[in-house]
Amino acid sequence: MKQIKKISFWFLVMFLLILICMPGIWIFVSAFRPNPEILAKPANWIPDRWTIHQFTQMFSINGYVSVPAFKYLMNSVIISSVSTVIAITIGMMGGYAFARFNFKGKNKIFLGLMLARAVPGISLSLPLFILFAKIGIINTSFGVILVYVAMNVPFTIWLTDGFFRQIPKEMSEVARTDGCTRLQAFWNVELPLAGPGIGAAAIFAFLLSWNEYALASIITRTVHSKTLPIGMMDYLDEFTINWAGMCAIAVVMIVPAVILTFIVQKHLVSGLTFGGVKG
Amino acid sequence: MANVELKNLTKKYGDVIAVQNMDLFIPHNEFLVLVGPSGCGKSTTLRMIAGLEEITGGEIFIDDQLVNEKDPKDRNVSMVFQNYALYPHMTVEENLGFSLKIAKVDKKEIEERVKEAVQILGLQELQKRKPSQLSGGQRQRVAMGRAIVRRPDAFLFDEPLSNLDAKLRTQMRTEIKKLHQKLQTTIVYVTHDQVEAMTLADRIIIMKDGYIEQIGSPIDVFNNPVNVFVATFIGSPPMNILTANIIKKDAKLFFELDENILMPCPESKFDYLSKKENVIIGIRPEDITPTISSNSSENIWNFEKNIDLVEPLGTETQIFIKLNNKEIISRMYNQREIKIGQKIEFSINLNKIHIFDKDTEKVIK
Amino acid sequence: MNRKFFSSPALLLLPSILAIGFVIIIPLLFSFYTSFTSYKLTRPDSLYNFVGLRNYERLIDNVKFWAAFGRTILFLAVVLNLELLFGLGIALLINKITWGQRTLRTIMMFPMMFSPILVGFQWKYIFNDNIGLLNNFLYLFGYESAIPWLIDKYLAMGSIMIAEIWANTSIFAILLLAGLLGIPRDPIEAARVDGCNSWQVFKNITLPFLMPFIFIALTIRSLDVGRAYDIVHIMTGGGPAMRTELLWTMIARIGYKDANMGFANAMSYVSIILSIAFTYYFFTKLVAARRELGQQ
Repeated sequence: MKQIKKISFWFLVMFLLILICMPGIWIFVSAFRPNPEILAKPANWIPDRWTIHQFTQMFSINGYVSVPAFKYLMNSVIISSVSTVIAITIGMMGGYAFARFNFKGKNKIFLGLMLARAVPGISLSLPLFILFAKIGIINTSFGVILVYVAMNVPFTIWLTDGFFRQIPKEMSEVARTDGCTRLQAFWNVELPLAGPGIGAAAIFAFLLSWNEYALASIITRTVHSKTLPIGMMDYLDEFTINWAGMCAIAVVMIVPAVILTFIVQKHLVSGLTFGGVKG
Repeated sequence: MANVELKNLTKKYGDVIAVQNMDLFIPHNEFLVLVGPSGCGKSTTLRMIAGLEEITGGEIFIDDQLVNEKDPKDRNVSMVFQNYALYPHMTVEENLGFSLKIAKVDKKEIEERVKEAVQILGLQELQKRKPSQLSGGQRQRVAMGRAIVRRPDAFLFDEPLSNLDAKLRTQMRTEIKKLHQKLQTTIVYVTHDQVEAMTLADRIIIMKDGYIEQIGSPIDVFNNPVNVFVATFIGSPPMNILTANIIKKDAKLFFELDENILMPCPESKFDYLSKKENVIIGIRPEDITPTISSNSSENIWNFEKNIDLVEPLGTETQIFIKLNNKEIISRMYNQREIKIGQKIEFSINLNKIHIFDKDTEKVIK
Repeated sequence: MNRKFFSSPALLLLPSILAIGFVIIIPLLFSFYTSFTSYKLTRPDSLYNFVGLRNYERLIDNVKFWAAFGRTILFLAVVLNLELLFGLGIALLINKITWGQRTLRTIMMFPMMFSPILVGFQWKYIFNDNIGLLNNFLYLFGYESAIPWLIDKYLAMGSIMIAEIWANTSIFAILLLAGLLGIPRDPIEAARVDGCNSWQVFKNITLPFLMPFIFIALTIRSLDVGRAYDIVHIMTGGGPAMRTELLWTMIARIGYKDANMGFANAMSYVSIILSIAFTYYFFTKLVAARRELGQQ
């Protein structure tokens, strides 16, 4: 009886693992095989012939490039990095304010900021499109960065508020009696202590910008500002989909995301849950 | 090298008063202890001196300079916190030198001053360690070292010993006292432990609900408490307090301590007491003792009472009796055999009883 | 300057509020205004053609809108509940594993890193009736007739839900696992000694402790429900014959394809209120659950 329980337990775990990993593995494998093989019936898991054709196509600098993936990648990297740095900087200031000060309407402002984040991208995209077109920042990296900063700030505040609260406020006080200004105390003591958590918040913000579609699909119009998720649509023709190419660009999108998440996953969870443990 | 002065200092949190109109002058090199129950405003006062708490009203002077508007960093005071607040990401050395590094002091001088502090506190072996690798007592020392290194005008201690176990606390207490003698600086020390207050202080301030109840030397506040609160707060076990009716008999006044137990009133207070129906009597446990034949003198008054409980502690024995339904502790320093329920004679030194007004709870002089 | 700046919460919050004000509040006010006009992208002057509540009246009369609204509610209710349930199951499962738990936890976060658009394409491929992995797999077992996963109206909705659940269950699992790991052992052991069986321990000790974590997960999750647009947009585009049309895809269609901004913005407002209502509800629940545990 115990044996059966144990076996079914591990069977369940394995089943889950397959369910979670299978699509990713399929994408990865398919990115390295010729297009016709993807459509083989029955499915062919291990490619007969490995090829990096899709990647050379995507990133080729000479000759005809069907999808300018390199440009998209650069756009994505620049937009995501810059918006993350800005969002973290100003979000961290906000988180610090919530963690260290008491002020009127604190809880209401906090909730208000969170609710601002809850506005669905597609509902926002219509007015943003018109507004950005009016002031002339449509189809610019600047416009997209601005949007991502605003989208990431509330959640960064949520996370950093938690991290700063975990640091006893005496740390800052003792630094200030030790001759620091509040800014010096923050820079020398609180920031290093909250460092890993802020790193996690940064990666969260980066991933959101990296993966965002609904807003970018409206605000970006050309190669000039399109990001990878938008670029992916280039593989979509009127009637057909270039699955192999799409898998290849998907790999380009996933790999950095996976690496970054694995680096900070421990801190990410502690940052997200802190509010539940201590409030 | 400075004195600290508070003038009419007030702190309010909304409508709640934390500190009310506090006036205080702390001369240079004094060891001043603020003591009181939690929520009495003692920590708030300290934090206002440090500049960590905004002032609602009044003025603070350090070294005769008004510091109300100054940042903590510009007040040249050092604070030692209850939980030590060591920087967890720095070694002991870096913790000690941090304030000097911020002040951009010459590297060589930082080294020297850190070394000096390390020697004073006996931290030689621990310089390269991180706070997490230190014991409670060691952390406490580093926290003090961090304050020493800065050579501040005044040290501020916020319950620095309350996280230590009893044995270590006694040891660190003596160290702090020695440190004060060595450094010759002003210290303001906050504690809720009256033993710490008594042993360390040059002067004690007893606070309650944001007010100063009494200021004086340890012996002074012990011998001459101005009200019931101070009388019961200072001293361990605390002073016995009971309400007694005043009874007139043969043109004399007596306190009715219990049924048929009448203690004579001191003649000096006849005028005052004849107008009162009852008063609060305070007697320290050491002033109410089982009668020894040798202690009969003019000011000694004796009575008999049954014993409720006996607790021998070695050097002394604590005897519990009831007067006017209040539990009274008596301290006996000889090792006489006493049984529960036994009726014995007690002596009270009439010169040492404290009389307080029933309504105001203030001492009757 | 530095001192004052770093000592004032108002100034610290100012950049955040400015950014949100510019990107979220102003556009929302603008769209609120346009929802009272007959604004069409193709005719800019129609921006000033004030029509009062007509767009909202049209909404109320619009059967398709109410169908999409109902579908959205149903979609969210099913998806959030199943995600919570599966997330809890996975968390309990992984909590039992003593060996390799960290690796498993990391693998579990895998779907969180996928762009919703990628999730859409991936499941569009899997559910493809002709070349899809699923039909391909069933073919091995002799199911030779292709099942039209994304074409049949019921199957299409189910398929979208599966994609959504695949993408978002892990956030529940991760947060609930963190909650499980944080539960003190004493109350559980005390309950065992008091004669509780496993189910009673779970119901009376584990679940109350998990409540704040459940609401954190729901709050975080509800911030992102609008991202389901990406998945639906890619997988079915609201089809077949609008059978999987959710509020968000309907907004996109009416706003961009039909260029009827005023009407689309009126619908946007309904979807915004819906999202905010979900978030607000879970957030207040979170606060209440914390209070229950005495963890202010």
